[in-house]
Amino acid sequence: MAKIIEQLREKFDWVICDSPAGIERGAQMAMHHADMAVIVTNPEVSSVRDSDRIIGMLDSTTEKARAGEKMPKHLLLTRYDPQRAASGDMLGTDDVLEILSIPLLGIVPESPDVLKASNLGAPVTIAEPNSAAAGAYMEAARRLMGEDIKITIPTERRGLLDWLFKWRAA
Amino acid sequence: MSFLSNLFNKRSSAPIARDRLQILLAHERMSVDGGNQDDLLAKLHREIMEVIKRHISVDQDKVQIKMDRGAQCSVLEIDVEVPGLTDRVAKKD
Ligand SMILES: Nc1ncnc2c1ncn2[C@@H]1O[C@H](COP(=O)(O)OP(=O)(O)O)[C@@H](O)[C@H]1O
Repeated sequence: MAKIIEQLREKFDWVICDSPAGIERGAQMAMHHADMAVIVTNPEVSSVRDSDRIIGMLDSTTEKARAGEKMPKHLLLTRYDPQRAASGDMLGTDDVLEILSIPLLGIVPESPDVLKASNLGAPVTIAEPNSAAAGAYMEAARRLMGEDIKITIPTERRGLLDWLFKWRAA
Repeated sequence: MSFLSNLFNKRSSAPIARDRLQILLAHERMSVDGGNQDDLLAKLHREIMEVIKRHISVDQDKVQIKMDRGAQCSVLEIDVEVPGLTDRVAKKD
């Protein structure tokens, strides 16, 4: 693994190691040689809990950590549903950020376009490039490359019914 | 008390999730500092693999290690699936 990463490092600017969900061996393998980490979290207890443990591992078991260096970490909050967060039935951005205390890279909204894209076998950024989720991913990527783009909490374009519903719920 | 007020007021679940997480993580962060169990298992896995590999060639995923921690006793379960004896035996040295 170290050898492969070394070869890729020479040829590419960015090498992304996706890791299986959770905190098992696969995740540890993916993070081992990393220079920085993007932690993808759903606003859910189980997901935030795993992320907390992953953050602990990033700071203790990776090569970088063992060399005494600091691992830069970014949080990508995904499957975020602004309406449910507003009505108090989903952990809000502030909650998750306060608990995990690492900088926020972006917020990807819950969106049917993601499932559609995954059915088609393509990333949402390619299958549905104009969707809110695709926009959020593109902006997150640009932030990762150092661009300074303001993070906005995604809102869906709402129909009249949704507005009424939200007004009732508020 | 935030738990009670949630129950009676808006019945929103996010503050409860937040409280649960804070308690959970406070506990877990403590035990992680004193030695991470997953870390220990990964280490055991690696070293057991090394020993086995000296004699038999087995795949990584044929060695499963589990730890069940109980109040009275903990069980370390090591499950090694070896190929039939007529299969390859590592010829080393
Ligand atoms: N923003 C989203 N909105 C709606 N569904 C999503 C979203 N993100 C992920 N999903 C659903 O979850 C599935 C698994 O997502 P994936 O990113 O592959 O998970 P993993 O963390 O296991 O890699 C997707 O195929 C899709 O159905």
